[in-house]
Amino acid sequence: MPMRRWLASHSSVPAADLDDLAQEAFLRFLRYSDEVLVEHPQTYLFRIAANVANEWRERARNSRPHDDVWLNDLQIEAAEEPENAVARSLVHEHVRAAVQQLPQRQREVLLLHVLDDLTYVQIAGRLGLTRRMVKRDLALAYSRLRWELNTVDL
Amino acid sequence: MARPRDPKSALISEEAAEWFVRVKDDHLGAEERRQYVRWLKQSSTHAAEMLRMHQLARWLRNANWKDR
Repeated sequence: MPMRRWLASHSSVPAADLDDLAQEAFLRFLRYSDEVLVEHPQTYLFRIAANVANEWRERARNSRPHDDVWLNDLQIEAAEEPENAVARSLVHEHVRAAVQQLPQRQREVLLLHVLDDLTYVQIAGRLGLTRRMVKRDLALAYSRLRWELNTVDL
Repeated sequence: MARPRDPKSALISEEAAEWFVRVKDDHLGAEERRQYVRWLKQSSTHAAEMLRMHQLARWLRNANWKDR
């Protein structure tokens, strides 16, 4: 199976669909007052997005049974698809290759953040960098990877 | 590397990435959380970028790292 198709169906929400879902989640998010949202902004956003995904999945199940696989990905920690190990390892390889292309310091900082679960403050302490530099490196690394990996034409 | 089509998109994803890091690592005070709510409410693109950041973080964690 071509990697693009595998990614589209398993590991990513197709760009247009994610935009639609975000649009609907955004409209619902707007209905809550700042006073309510301010306690746990992110929790609200993700709960709302998960609700929208669930509703759409429910709807899709009734109409287009095989077309809704991507919605599963919006479960906060969806179970990994058990099948197609070869395609999955290609995707993993693709993700790792994108990380390898980052400038050295961004890569180092990112891996400490993702794999060792260190905070940017801890990373700064470990590498002898300022907090500001590390936070900046992380923001640049994540946003570069976002464009590298979320483009449709993989 | 792939690049967004316009500088504005790049800026929004950098902002999303920075919020992602701050929310994950800092204990945000009430005023910062208010800023974050304001940022999220500014445009559906902001909300979409934040969802993408979490999707990306999951890909990264699951990428089956053996060595670095």
